[in-house]
Amino acid sequence: MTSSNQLRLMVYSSLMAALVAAGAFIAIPIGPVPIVLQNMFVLLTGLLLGRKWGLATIAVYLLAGGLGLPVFSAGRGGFAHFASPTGGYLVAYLIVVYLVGWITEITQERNRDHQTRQFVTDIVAMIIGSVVVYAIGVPWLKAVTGMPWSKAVAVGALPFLVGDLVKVVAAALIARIIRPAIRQTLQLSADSPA
Amino acid sequence: MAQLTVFEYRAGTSFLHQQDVRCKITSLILINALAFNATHIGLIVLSGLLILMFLQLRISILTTLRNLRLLFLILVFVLGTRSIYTQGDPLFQFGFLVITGQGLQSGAVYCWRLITLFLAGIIFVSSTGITEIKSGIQWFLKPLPGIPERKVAVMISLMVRFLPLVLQQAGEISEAQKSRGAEIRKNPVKRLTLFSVPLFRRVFETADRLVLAMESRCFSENRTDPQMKLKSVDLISMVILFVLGIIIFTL
Repeated sequence: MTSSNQLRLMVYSSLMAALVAAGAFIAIPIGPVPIVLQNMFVLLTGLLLGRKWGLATIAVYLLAGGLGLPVFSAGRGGFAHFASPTGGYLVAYLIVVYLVGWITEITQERNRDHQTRQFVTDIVAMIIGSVVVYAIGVPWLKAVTGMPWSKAVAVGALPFLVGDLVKVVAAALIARIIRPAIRQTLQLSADSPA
Repeated sequence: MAQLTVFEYRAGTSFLHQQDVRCKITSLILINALAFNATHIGLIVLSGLLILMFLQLRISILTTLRNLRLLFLILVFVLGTRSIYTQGDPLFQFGFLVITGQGLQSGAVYCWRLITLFLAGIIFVSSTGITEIKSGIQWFLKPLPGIPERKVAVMISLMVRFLPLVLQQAGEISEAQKSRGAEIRKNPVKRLTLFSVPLFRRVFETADRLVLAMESRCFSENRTDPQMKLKSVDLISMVILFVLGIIIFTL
């Protein structure tokens, strides 16, 4: 990979971090509840940038939020936020993006030119990712607030499950459209003498 | 329709603009820590301080808050869950949902904390330029091993710079689709896809243009950073903030 591609990936990664941050503030009203887009953008980061740069994206996002820049959901900044009831979800993003990126990378050779297979792999990767989010987020919520399990699950997971399924399917469709363009650009800039 | 979002940097010559960036980052972390630990009186003092800063910057707090409608939606959600899941004397009762006085109170204080945190962040972002943020973060990360501080600092500053742009583009796309009657469509998957694809396209186009601009200006990580100078005013304001912090902690 040329240095030009390194720069391009770094810029992509920074702008994806901006997208993830923006995802906490933009919502699409569907029915009575607006759907917040942040976790969909996190999954897409893994799908589009792979594990290394995906991890960098989320790490940069969390670091910026930790420093107190207003990027966390509901604008909470500061390291104190990691200790709050929803801090577990943020930490889980790091693992999820790596996992989704890794699954994408090990399957991409086999899925080349197989759109349907790629689509199914993406969905499976994101479902595994979402499970991990709750597997870390809900116990964290329970530990911090001292709620019983039933309440922690009722507050921290159940209300979001349907929305998450919608987001996973939508993210797979989006990745199918956006990914070829990104691959092509990276290919072109790798070929050109930088 | 270039509407300013609240995350934008505003050029100026106010006291806050001229303060050393390292002091500003330290203050920001300090204010965040305080907001999470302060009692009522401490929160009032902190809020007063932030309002003073807003006046100094000549930014309207009301406009800022009006721009953050989604924040309030989330706050209402936080308030709701807090009121329901805190044990105490029941205040209202809707079926099996019991809203307690204690819950309502702790929820309100929590929301106040979040707003304080948010306003502090806004003040920082609107009074600090992108190169300053970069060199400040770089200075703080330098002693940490295993972190490529120059790269990380560039990435954070790019992210902060492009957050308002992404939000603005998302707003434009949403308005454009509303004007074409997108709300009639009920299928949520379709709605999400139709909204996100143009957003991602635009963001990656912006990224490509940015790469071109950076390459043509021979971007490298080893560039000369703006010099940071600690003035005596910075030190004095830091000392004042620390003293205030200790007072708030002990209150």
